[in-house]
Amino acid sequence: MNFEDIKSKMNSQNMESQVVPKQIKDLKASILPIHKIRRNLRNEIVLQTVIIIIFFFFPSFVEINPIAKGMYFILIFITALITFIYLMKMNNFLRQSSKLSINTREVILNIIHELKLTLEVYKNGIISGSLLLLMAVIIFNSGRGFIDESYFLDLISLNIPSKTLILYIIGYLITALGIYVLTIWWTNRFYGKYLKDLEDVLEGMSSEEIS
Amino acid sequence: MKITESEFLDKINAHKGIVYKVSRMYCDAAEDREDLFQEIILQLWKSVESFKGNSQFSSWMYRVALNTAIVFYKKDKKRKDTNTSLKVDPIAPKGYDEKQDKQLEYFYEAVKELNKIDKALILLYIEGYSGQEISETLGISEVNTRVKTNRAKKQLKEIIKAKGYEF
Repeated sequence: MNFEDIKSKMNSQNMESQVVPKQIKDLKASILPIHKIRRNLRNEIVLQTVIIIIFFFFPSFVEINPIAKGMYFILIFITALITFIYLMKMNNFLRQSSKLSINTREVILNIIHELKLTLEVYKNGIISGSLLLLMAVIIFNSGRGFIDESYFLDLISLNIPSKTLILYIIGYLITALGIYVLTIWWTNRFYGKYLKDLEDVLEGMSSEEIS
Repeated sequence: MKITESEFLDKINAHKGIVYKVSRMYCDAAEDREDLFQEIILQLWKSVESFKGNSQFSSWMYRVALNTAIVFYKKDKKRKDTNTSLKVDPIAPKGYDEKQDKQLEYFYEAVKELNKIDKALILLYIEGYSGQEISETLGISEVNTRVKTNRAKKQLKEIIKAKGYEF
């Protein structure tokens, strides 16, 4: 095979009719992997914002003990704060324009670094937010309607039989484990494959240096 | 580089062969090629301010175009695997019949088997870039560039031979 022949055939292609749009906005939206990641992130930002708003307004429509209501709002506020922080981080990742003028290795390293950081913040945010949200739901459920306030106060001050307390703790830990596993699975399902592909390309670039 | 949108597009038009070649090297299916072609132009536009004129505009274009293909492009498995030789390429120049040009067609068929970095190495090598320039573009050492380029060339020749396309 003669590469000079290939080069001359490539160059002899008539490019006259190959159309470059007259305006940037005429460029068709493409469906490259990075766009899928950005679309997934954007959808999640919208969904989680809606969920937090619903949780904030929900007690307005249900009768709930004032102490339980206060605690519920404190927990939801902290959850909203955590959500806000990681949504901001995700938003920054979405907004940053790709710096593709540097060499390929640096571009890949930068994207892997940024994506990993974003996903770590995301995973930690989701896990801690979900755990607080779970607590808020338990308090909300315990404080609904007309309840025996002393029983409720005993419950939140953990003044309950050890056996019951241990059962609550085990139940909470199992749920926490479920949330953790689900979050890791969800993150890998939507974002892990792209990350793995980039890492494979990077590894392919380095392997010859060692041999 | 300060440049207006229309000046930029004129410049891209003058060098559109680069965008076409990179799209052709990385995409087999015509729809994918179309996507990548457009995405490269978009990324060039987003990156144009970073072009300081320290290198040729075409070299800078190759760098951004290859990075776009290597980092952003991945074949959509849901999309049918189409055979280029049987499909009309929507962005191929008019009057150009790939079927008639078997050598180039076989070359592109063989290139499909290479990994992303090897495709970049082969294209830059064919375009006459030096080992140092290729090394700077991809961010790998010159020795590594030489080893990998020779290996990719050998692999390409073997693929062509195995497919019975030898020329």
